[in-house]
Amino acid sequence: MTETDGKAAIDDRLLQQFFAAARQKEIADDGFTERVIERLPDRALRQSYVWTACCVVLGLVLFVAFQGWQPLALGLLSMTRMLVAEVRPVPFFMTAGVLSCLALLAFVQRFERMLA
Amino acid sequence: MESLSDISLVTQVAVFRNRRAYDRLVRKYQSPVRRFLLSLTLGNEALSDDLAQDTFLKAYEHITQFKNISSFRTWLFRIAYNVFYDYRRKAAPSSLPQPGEAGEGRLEGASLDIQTALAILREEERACVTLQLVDGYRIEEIAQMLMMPVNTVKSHLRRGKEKLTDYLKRNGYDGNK
Repeated sequence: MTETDGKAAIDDRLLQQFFAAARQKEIADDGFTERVIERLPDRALRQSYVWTACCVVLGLVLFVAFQGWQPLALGLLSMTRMLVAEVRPVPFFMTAGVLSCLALLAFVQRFERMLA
Repeated sequence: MESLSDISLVTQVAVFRNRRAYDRLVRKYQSPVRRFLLSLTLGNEALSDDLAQDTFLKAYEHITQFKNISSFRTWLFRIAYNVFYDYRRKAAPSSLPQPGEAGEGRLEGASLDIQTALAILREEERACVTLQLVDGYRIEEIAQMLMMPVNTVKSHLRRGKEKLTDYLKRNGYDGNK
């Protein structure tokens, strides 16, 4: 065995002993994992935002290109006409009266709770 | 068995972006990665934690590039070393303790001496020595992690160990401390 070999062997023993404490040391998590998980990029969420934005833009473009407001206005107009024609005065006012009473009751109860 | 469980978790993260699976991987490897970076930054706890977070975020973003040629742990340490290396390149020279001055360490007691001792080494030597003497990796694994030829790792280890032995002997350390 050469002198160098002998010295290297002693070095290793010393170094192994010197680093023994660090080898066994575990660093406690202390919320580290949570911090990492919170910072993870949510690609799926970002993709869904992008898709939603694309669909909204496409919908607006088609709405303008095909003058979507025309059938919409016609539809609303005919629906209103139908509703007006269908209304029977007696049941309509009876329903409106019942709903008004219920709303008044709810309002009074809330007012009482506020005062209490 | 350990690598099988890692592969299963990595697959869940890569395919389904399963955060719970990644949570388990981070929990499992946070201690060795943070300890490694703590040694590289000479005990700078805040900096090493920031770099460790960046390491795990990078690993998550590039997890599909993990080829299972090496173990997940080896791959993670490679990223950690790259993150440290990038930081070192961009940061001002004064942002890290220079050889000979060590920061405050989380590893109490004897390990304050360890940080002081590690501070006398060059960064590559420090990385090689830490990976072998603290984490117990083989030279081939260290070469994979640090992306260095095996002979270069051997040279860094030899020089690092010589310096450390000399330092310990000069400071009266006889192994019984």
